[in-house]
Amino acid sequence: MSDILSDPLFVRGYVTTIALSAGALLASLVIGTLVASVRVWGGPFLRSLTGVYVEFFRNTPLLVQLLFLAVLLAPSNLGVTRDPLVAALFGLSVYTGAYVTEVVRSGILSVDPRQIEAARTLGLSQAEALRHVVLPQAIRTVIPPLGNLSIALVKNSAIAGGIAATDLLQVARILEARPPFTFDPFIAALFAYWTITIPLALAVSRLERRLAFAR
Amino acid sequence: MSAATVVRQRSPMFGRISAALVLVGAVLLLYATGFFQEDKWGPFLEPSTWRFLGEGLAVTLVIGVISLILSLLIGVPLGMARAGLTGPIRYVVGGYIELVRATPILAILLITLLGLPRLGLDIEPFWAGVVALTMYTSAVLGEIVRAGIGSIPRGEVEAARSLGLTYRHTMRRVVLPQALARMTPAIVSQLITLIKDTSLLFIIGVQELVGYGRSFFNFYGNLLETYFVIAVIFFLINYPLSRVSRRLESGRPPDERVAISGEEDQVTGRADHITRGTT
Amino acid sequence: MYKKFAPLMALVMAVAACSTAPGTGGSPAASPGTGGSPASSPAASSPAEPAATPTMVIVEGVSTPESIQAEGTLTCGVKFDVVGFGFRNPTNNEIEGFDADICREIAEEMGVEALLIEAVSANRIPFINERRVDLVISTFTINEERRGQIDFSRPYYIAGQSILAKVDNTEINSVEDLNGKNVCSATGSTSETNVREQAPEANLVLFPTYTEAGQALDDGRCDAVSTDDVILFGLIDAYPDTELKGEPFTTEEYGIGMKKDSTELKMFVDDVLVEMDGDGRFAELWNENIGAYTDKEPVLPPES
Repeated sequence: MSDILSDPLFVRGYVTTIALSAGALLASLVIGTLVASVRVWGGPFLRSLTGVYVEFFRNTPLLVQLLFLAVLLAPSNLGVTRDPLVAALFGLSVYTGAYVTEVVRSGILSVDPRQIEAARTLGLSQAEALRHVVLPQAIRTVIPPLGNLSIALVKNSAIAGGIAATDLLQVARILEARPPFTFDPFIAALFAYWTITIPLALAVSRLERRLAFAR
Repeated sequence: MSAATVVRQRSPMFGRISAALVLVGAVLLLYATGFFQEDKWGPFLEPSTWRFLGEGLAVTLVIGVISLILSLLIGVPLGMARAGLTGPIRYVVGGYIELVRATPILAILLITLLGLPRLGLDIEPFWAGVVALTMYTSAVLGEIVRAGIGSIPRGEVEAARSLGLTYRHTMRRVVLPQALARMTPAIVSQLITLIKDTSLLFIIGVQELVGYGRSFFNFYGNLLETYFVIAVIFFLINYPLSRVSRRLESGRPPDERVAISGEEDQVTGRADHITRGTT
Repeated sequence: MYKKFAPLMALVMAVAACSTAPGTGGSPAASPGTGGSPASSPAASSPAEPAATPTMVIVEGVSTPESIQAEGTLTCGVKFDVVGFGFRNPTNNEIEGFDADICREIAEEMGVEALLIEAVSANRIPFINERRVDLVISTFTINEERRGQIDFSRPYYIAGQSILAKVDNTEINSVEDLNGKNVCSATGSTSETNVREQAPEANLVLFPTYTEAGQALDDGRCDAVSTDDVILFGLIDAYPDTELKGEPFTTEEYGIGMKKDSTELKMFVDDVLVEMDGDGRFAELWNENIGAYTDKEPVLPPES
């Protein structure tokens, strides 16, 4: 087992999974916040459009999205990239972004508008009001669900192997097919995933409890 | 009145123009890939196509239903065990549930397919898929059940017990009926995840909708179009389910809503205070 | 108690399911509206085939040419999903391929009917030992371990790991040229190891099945696909603008499998093979089935 854990390919897979998840999380936060803003403050047409995005990407399988995307970005089509990791990053970001949108949107809507009114009355500008009054409260609402989404994201990153990205699970398959053909690589991968998801889950549940008490 | 009506930032024109640009850009992009050629969409006008894809869809739905039923049969007792028992057993069950839920479902799938034969159990890909999906979904359902049971105030249990009802009776007549009603939206949401996850089974060679789709576009040469149609089919199944789940949930006051962590389709994004169940 | 409850349930379910499971598996009959044989997608199993476990059931006795003639039927186990060797054509349900045709020739020499049934990799030895089939002609690689359980005829085809690339790709002509290129294959196969050994700088891109790898070659994500040439034939069939490049860089001999100690049957089969080679029937069947995919000489390999 120790020879697997020290195998450079295994380490590479582990790092790839973390990097892929982190990158997709950041990108999905950006996408989600932008789209959520549109959904809150945009006109009816824009709201419908973004609504279609959110509902479509939430209700269709991630694997199908990735398979489509990998071919779409391939040289014979859009020619954007051959690298499965890039396609996976793209796909995971868009998929998770749809979920982030709804979370951020409810976060924005959860702040009582009278607070903004009051802030304005007290002399703060619009931007200051948003920054000092709305944002801190919205973040509180938004962090636990975002934490849950990031756990789900790490688990979903394993699907990237379906388009041949060399993530942790893919590495497990590769190592299992090499002599001595033991099952250890999968066990190692299992534990490796747990080292990421379990601490995340513990952190999120601790956060949830602290925020719930603070109300 | 919501924050939306108070803070209007941009003029409507800006929004409409940028939306139009995005749409036109997307259409052009797809056009560049030959997405709109007639010969690629032609096959979808043939009835034989839909009979063929319908077979695949049937397999997908069968897998989903079997897995759901088995998951309920396993998950409900698991959740009740975790909620009702005390001592080390509760932690063992809880530990198992949390470990399974912390694992990517594709990993469970591959481990089931490749691991069981090593233990001497020969298993077909179809059943390996069902076992894996059931294992994961039952753990999630177990957690939903636990949270559901835990969301019933202790006061009710105490009142029932002091009226002379046995534990079983209390469960059956007081706790479970209410808990089940609260859990249903979460269970429906998990069904959505389950149906989406059946698409992973093609990786281990099960011929469900995606598998059939692949044979289809290998013959007709319309990969992008076929994957799009398959996605739409999934959408047409899952979107109504998500509406049902939301409708069921909206009728309830916030502290009666059951929500669990770590699952994407369980995040409703509601700003209201959600309960994980008090125990 | 509850401790083992849940995982045990899963195992119990699996065991129960296996004994009652309806036959599913296999590739769906692609039923397109109008005729024409569909592009084949070999349903290659991606997980590495585990070493064949010795079968429990061994039925007494062996088939001989006389016993087969008495029965009137020669039963052969062949593949139903490997283009060029054993492939069921969905448009007419005929079994086509080199392996299938060899079975038919042997049956003709015996003066009996040929009955072809599907023998997937895992079933080949069990079917022989259970005497469900007389012969197995199913892209069956001869190796020492199998020799311990069954008998083989002399080799009739030499397969090997090869390289598939687009016809207009002039950069790839041998395994060394794979260095620095994107090479696609399937996870869980030995192909990956072989490429890594011979072209350590190659960038391996591993998909769940060979169909995906073929698709990636077609849309440019890969420069080449490398696996057994037999599987590559199926990909050539699906993507006609590809061809094999260079020589195979591993070798595997395919043989006809039969029950242990089938001395008479083995002699008969070997003789038929030599005869076919001598009078041109071997080359004819070769060219009909796999000639389009490979430049190799259509001759019977020497005895091993």
